[in-house]
Parts: sequence; structure tokens; C-alpha cells
Amino acid sequence: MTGEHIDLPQGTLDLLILRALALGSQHGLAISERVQQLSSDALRIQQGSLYPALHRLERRGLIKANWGTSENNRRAKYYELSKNGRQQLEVETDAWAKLTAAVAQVLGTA
Amino acid sequence: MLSDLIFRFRSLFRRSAVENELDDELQFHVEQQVEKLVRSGLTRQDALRQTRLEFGAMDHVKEDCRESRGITFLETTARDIRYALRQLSRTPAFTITVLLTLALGIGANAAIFTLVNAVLLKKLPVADPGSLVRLGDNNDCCVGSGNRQDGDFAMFSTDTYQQLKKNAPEFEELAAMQAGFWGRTIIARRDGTQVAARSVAAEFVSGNYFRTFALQARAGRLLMDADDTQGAPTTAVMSFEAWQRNYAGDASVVGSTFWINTKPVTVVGIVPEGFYGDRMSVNPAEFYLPIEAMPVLANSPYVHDPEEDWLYIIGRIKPGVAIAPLQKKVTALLQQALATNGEFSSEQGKRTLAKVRVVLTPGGAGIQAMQEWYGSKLHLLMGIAGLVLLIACANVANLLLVRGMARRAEISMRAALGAMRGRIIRQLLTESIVLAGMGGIAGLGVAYAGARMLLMLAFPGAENIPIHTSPSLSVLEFACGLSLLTGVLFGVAPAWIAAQAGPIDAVRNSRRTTAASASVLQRGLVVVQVGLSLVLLVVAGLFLQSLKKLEGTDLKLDARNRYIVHINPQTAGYTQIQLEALYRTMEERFHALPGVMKVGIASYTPMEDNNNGWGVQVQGQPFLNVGASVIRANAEYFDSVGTRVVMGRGINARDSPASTTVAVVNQTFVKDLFKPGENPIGRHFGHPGPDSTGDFEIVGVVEDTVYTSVRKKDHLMYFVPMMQRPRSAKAPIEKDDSLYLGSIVIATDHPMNDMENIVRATLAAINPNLTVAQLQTFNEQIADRFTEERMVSRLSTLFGALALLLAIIGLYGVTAYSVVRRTPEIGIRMALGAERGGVIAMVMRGAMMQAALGLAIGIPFALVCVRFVKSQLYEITSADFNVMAGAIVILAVAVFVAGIIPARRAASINPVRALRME
Repeated sequence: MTGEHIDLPQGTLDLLILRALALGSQHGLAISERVQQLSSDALRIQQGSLYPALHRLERRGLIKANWGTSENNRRAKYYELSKNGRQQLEVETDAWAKLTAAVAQVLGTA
Repeated sequence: MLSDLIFRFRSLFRRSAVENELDDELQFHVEQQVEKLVRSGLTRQDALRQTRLEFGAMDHVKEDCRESRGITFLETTARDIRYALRQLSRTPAFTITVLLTLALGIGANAAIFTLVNAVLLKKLPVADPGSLVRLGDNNDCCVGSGNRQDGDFAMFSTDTYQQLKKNAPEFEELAAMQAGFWGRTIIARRDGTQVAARSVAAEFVSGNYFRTFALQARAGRLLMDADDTQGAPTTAVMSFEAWQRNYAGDASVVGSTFWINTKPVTVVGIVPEGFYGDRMSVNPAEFYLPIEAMPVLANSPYVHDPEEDWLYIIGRIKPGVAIAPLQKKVTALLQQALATNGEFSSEQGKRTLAKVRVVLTPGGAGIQAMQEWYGSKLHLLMGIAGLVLLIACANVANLLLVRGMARRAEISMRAALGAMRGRIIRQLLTESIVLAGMGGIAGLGVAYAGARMLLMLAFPGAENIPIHTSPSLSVLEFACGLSLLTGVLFGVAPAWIAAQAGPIDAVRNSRRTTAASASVLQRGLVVVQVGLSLVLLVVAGLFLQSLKKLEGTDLKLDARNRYIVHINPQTAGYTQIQLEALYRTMEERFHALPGVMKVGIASYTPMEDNNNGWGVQVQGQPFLNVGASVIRANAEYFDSVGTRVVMGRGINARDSPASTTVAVVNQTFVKDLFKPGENPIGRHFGHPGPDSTGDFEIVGVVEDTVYTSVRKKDHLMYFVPMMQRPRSAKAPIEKDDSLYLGSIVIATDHPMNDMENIVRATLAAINPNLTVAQLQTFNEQIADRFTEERMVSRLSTLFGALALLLAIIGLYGVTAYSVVRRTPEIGIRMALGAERGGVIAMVMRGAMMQAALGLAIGIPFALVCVRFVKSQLYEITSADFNVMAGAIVILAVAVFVAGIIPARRAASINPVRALRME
């Protein structure tokens, strides 16, 4: 609620979710909180687009869903990375690094 | 890919579970978020509000989630299908009519296609059939010598086969097989059993036969080159089907001894399951025997005669061998082999030798005699069935149109409520595809039953035929493709037209809206149906007439109370020297039976699939290049089959081997070889050549009894006493297997039901090896010659009737529908004083108009179609007046019936009620 928020560029939401799950399985809310936390509050995921993204990733087989119990003993749906997801994360992280470096270079020399 | 599909299907079929999970998940999120906000100091109410704000519309999120899961497309389709089924079950009359129409249309086509697939497209069940090549492109049969029709060879002597095998290394293997084995059954009995000997089909093949086809024995081993050598112990292999049927797959059959043609033979193995030989046949071989066993078992003199052709040849070519140069080489090799042959050594013979050739054809389907025989008929039936399907499709389209019209109100309403046109069309299309799919499934049932019926019609009494009627994968594909095509093709137009309904129509009274375009389309479809039905009725009529003509032909014989028995004294172990005594004994024994009037013995009989023809030359005339069929017969033969002697005398008991060699000729023989008025009695003739033209003295002339086939015209024939041999015959009597006579004709004074047992007992009393190969009444034998014609005629009648029925349904539907639509109009007319008769006439005029248009299109079309079926007809070259008139009258009556019912209903409309409906 405080600080500046950055709008997420197209297509980065999936990458962020995968990255957030790389640390261990989480439910939806915790994923968005973790992204917020990792970005020092700079990035916030729109609640409305989080769940469609999770279901899309599940269908693509990049994450797996299981029902578990939350910290306060509630039934919650936990997501975790699948083997494919882990590979995808590596590939996309790599691609992202190259992209940002290239963009930075262009902007720096301009 | 697969996991994706499973995921989607779970979404679809476990819809409620997935929905609940989604609810739970989002609910959990909301609650957690609220609690977090409450902890940070907000009131519960504010926390809830803020959470909702952040989240956006919950239903929107859920819909996005569903879409992410890939639910929508499948779900919509499933919903459309459920809706379609509900709609269809609400109008059972419509649904059943459409389903029946589709089932019959698709079923008839799939049935014929099953047979086409099983007969015409089937490859031999062997490894790599594509590399098999057959030497020759015709089906000459079964034993012959000299030049073939225009030098085109397909049958070869053992000698030629050996030379080809040796000199054509392009072939990996070159196998030879007996050309005509079906008419030359063997007698087989297992050693040590009490079961009586049976006449069964057997084929003599070269030692590398099974190796050429790359087959592995099911049990024991298959024939090898060592089996096919002179002096080798006689061996045989048995077909899998015979092994199962007769010995229940008993393993001890392998290695056991069988008495084949009274000689001991060891069965060394069983052929793999499903292998039905090198050709499709009504009665596949039960035993395969090596060629070199044939002189031993069957006493056949032609096996080692270099001038007698009796083998077909199929080879497997080595990879990369080109056909064209190989064909040239094989032709050259054949000419080389024939050059030493007597017939080709003269000056004229050398000229004909240059024309001798072999055409290489694909051998993957084996010898395709049966395929060629049935091909044209099956293609014809496919064409007819295709027309029926066209009519069925027109019918379905029409019914769908009518239904679309009737549902305009509903569709307008849906459009008014915001349904998109694309969505409505999709829904209506789903409905027609569901309908077509169900029709297709029902059609498969019809196809299965239909194919069985076809098989029974085409091959009556053939139990062992290697044709299976269960729909294969390609038939399934064919039927499904066909039904889907029908569904889409004939669903699009009605869906499109129905979807034209604007929302405003829902507000208006839809009953008053007219759909002129649909109406024209509907009427057009009926016109086409009537036209096509006429074509099919005419075709059916022509085939019926053709069959009647064939069956009504005066065969110049007497079939009443006649029984024809086929035996083979050669396989029963008789030598030529013993034959005369055997024939006398048979005459005596059969005459001794009560009720027997005449006993004829002959090489073959009228109207059977057998023939023995030779060139003939009358003494004192040049050779006119004329051939005649010859039959050996005993004294009572002519009387037994009902052939009348018109001049001179018949054959009598005094015509013995010792007396003058005589012959009785038929009228065509006299007409073709003597001048009008010339007296043939006392003249001599024989095989062409100075030594032989004096062989036979003509002592009598008989009527032209029909042999072989009614279609065979100008059939020259001569009959010689059964044991007389031509004076010029050089070969010893032991080499003359024309003396073996295979037919006994028994004429009785009344029908005898247990003739089969009597005959078997009588023959067995003479010699237990004299088994009956076939026993039929003369009438049955004659009827067998018309089997194919009868099948085509029956099926075309059936299809014609089906077409007529469908056309009537179509016409009735359109007329009835137009009556319903015009109810208010008719009500007004009647209120204004129109007579009942006038209303009936008005409705009928519309129906008859369509019928007349249909006829106008159908008549010229039918005349064109006759050209295509002409070759299948007997002595019918054009659609004659009676057939045409008959078809038109039948159609007119049917149209009248289809029109009068709704017309009467229109006339019974109560004007007051009709107007109140406004």
C-alpha cells in the first residue's frame, strides 16, 4: 500500500510465479506476498490475474497443485514446481537476463 | 499433450469437483487477505471491501480461470450435444425418420464397401506383397496347349517354368501353382480312422511356393524344394482352416499319413492361419501338394509335357529391379522356351511366336480371377448405392430444413435474447452432426447385416470363403466419414437459413413469415429425389428384365427329376484300362434302383462351369480356324439331359472302342461348317492336320443344348462315344486322361428326396473311393449359373424400392409442411367459399408438379445411365418402353399417395379454427 508500484510487463507474471515457487510450495496468496517481498515491495501482482495464471501454468504442467493445510489449519491449495517447471524457470531466467542486459546496453549507449 | 488432454477432460467431466475446488481456493484467498488486513488494524467490514476491490469481479476471475484450464470449448460442445439430444428426443418422429434414412443410406454403402474392401482391395496375407509380381495379365485356365489369345501368355508348362526360374535371377523366388485346381478335387482320408474319404480341394504348387510368400508354418514345416523332386516321398501341408474344422487343431495330424487319391501321403505341416492360397476362391485348397507328386497322385500326363500349359507363376522380385526390362526379358525367355514346341516350329508358327508375350502384373493380391469376375458387378452396385445415399442425403437435408422452419420462432426468440448468430449456427450444426453420428452408428449395424446378406447372395453355400464381413477399420472410417460429411453438408444450409431469422421475427407472428428461398430449395431437393428414384427404378427394371430373359432362355434340355453327380474315377485310383468296366457297372447299378429311368455318363453336363475345346477341321475343307467343345458320353446321355436328336442317330451301346469312331454334332456345328442343305451325315472331321481330319464320322445331329453359359452363343459341339479314341491318337491309352468322365446324370420318374444317400451308397458299393464331389438337381445346377445376375437384380430392386420409399418420405414431408404453413391461407380460402375438391387439387398440383419436373429430369438421365449398365445386361441394349413406363407409373402412384394424405388434411381444415390461429 505504500511505496511505488511498477506495472508488470507482459509475460513476466508466469516467470515471477515460477521463481516464487522455486523456494518451496506455496498457496496463491503466499505466492503474491513472496513476489512483493522479494521485490522489496516494488512489484505487486494483481489478485485478479494471479489465479488464471496459476491454472494456466498447472495445465501446461509447469506446476503441480495439492491440497494441504495452512499455518492456521485451513484447507488450502498449494502449488509447487514440477520438473518441467524447474527447467522452464532456468530457461526463462536466462532469457530474461539476456533481454534486460541487452535493453540496458541499448539504453546506456543511447 | 496427453496430460493436457487429461487435464481438460477432468475439467469437463469432473466439472462440479473442479468448480468446488476453484471456489474453495478463491474463498481461502479472500479470507486470508481479510484476516491479514484486520490484523493490520482495519475493521472487518473495511477489510472485506478492500479485498473485493483488489480482487475485481469474482465471477470474472472464475471465468478467466476456467478459460485457463481450457474448459470452455469442450464444455460448450458437451452442452450443445446435450441440448441437441434433448431437442431430438422431443420430436421422435422426425428423429427416427432421419436416423432410418441415414442408417439405410450409409449402411447400404458401407455394406457394399465392406465387400469391395474384402474382395477387391485385399492383399494376400503375406510379407511385403508389394514385391510380388505375377507373370501374365489374363486368367486363362486350366490346361491347354498351343498359342493363346493374341499371344498373351499367363499359363505355362512345367518346362517353361523351370527355364524361367533358372534364367531370371531378377527374381528372388519364382513360384508356380496349378492354374485350375477347383474343378480337380482330390480324395482324402486320414489313415487309421473310420471317417469316410472326402472329395476336397487341393492345389499342386512348386517347392518354393511358401518361401516365395515368406510364410512360416503354423505347425510342423511347409513344403521345400526337396519335397518337389521326382521320387521324393510324397508330402503335403494342410490349410489352417481345414485343420481346425476337420481335426479341431489336433497336433498329431502333423506327421500322420493320409490316403490321398488312394496313395499314402505324409502331412508335414500346417499353413499359417489366414492364408487362403494364392487367390481368392469360394472353396480354398485344404491341401497343398508338390508339383512332382501330381503324376503319382493324379496320374496327370500333362505335368511333364513341355507343350501343355497348366501353371500360373508368381515371383518375388529383388529390390531395385525395374519391371519394364524384366518383362522384355521374360517374354524373350518364353519365346525361347516355346521355339522347340511343335506348334511353333512351322513357318506360320514362327510368325505367331514373334507375337508371344508375357505381361507382368502386380502379384500382391495373387491370381485375381475372382476379383475380375466380381469387380464390375461390385462397382455397379457401389454406383447404385451411391445414388441411394444421395437420395437419403436430400431427404435428410429436406427434413432438417422443415425442422429449421418450424423452429424459426424459437430461434428468433433466442436471437432476441442476445444469442449470437455464430452460436446459433454452431448449435444447429451440432444437432445435425449428432444426428449424422447416430445415423452412422446405426448404419454400421445395417452394414454388418447387409454385408452378410450380400455374401450369401453372391456366394450361396460357400462356407469356407475367405471373405470376412465384420467391418474393418477402413469400413469404419468410411462410414464415419460419410456420416459426418452428410451431417455437415446437409446441416449447414438449414442452419444458415434458420439463423437468418431476425430477432424482430420473434415479436411478429412467425407463422405468417414465408421463407421463399427455403421453399425453392426444398422443392428442388424433392425434384432431384424423384429424378434419381426414377433412374434407380429403371435400372432395377432392366436388371429384372435381363434376369427374366436369361432364366427364360430355352436351354433345349429337360431338367425335371434329373440329378447330376460329379465324381472323379481318376482320383479313386482307376487306370484307363479299367474304365470301361467301371462305366458299365455304374450304368447297371443305377438302372437297378427303383424309379431310375435313364443313366447318362459324360465328361461334363449342360450349364456347368466346365469346357473342353479343340480346333476342328472337316475333311476336304481347309482349317477355318474354328474350335468346338467335345464331350464323351454314353448311350443314354442325350435322353438323360433331354437333348433331342434331329438327324441321323445318337450314340448307342454298339459304339465300342473296337467299332468305327463316330461323332454326333450339334446344329451350330453343322450351320458353321457345312453349306446350307449339305448333308453332314457320313462326313468326317477331326483335329486340324492331314492325319487327323478323318478321325470322326458324323452319324447324327442334335439340338443346341446350352452348355457353360446362356451368354455363350454359337457354341460348336461334338459328342463322341465314351471309350472311343480317335484313330490318329498316338499316345497310349494310359496317357489319355480325357477318358475319365466326371458326370453322372440320373433321370427318375419322380422327385427323390434321399438321392444323395442312395447315390453315395451305390457308388461306395462299387468302390469306397468313389466319393461324390458334388450332387445337385439339374435345376439347382442351372440356377447356380445365374447367381450373380440374380444378386445384381435383387439388389438393384431393393435399392430401387429404397429410393422410392425415401422419395415418398421427402415429398410427403414437404407437402405436409407446406399444408401446415398455409393453414391460415387455406382457412381464408375456405371461408371465402373454396370447395374441398378445389383445396385438394391445389395441394396435389404442387406435389404433382414436383414429380413431373423430377420425371422430366430423370428420364434423360436414366437413358444415359443405361449405357453404363448395358454391358451387365443380357440382350438389352436400351431402356425399353415397358420398363420406362412401368417405372413412371410406379413413381406416379407413389407420388399420388404421398400427396393425397396432406391434401385431404388440408381440405379438412376448419376455417374458423384456422383463422383463430392467427
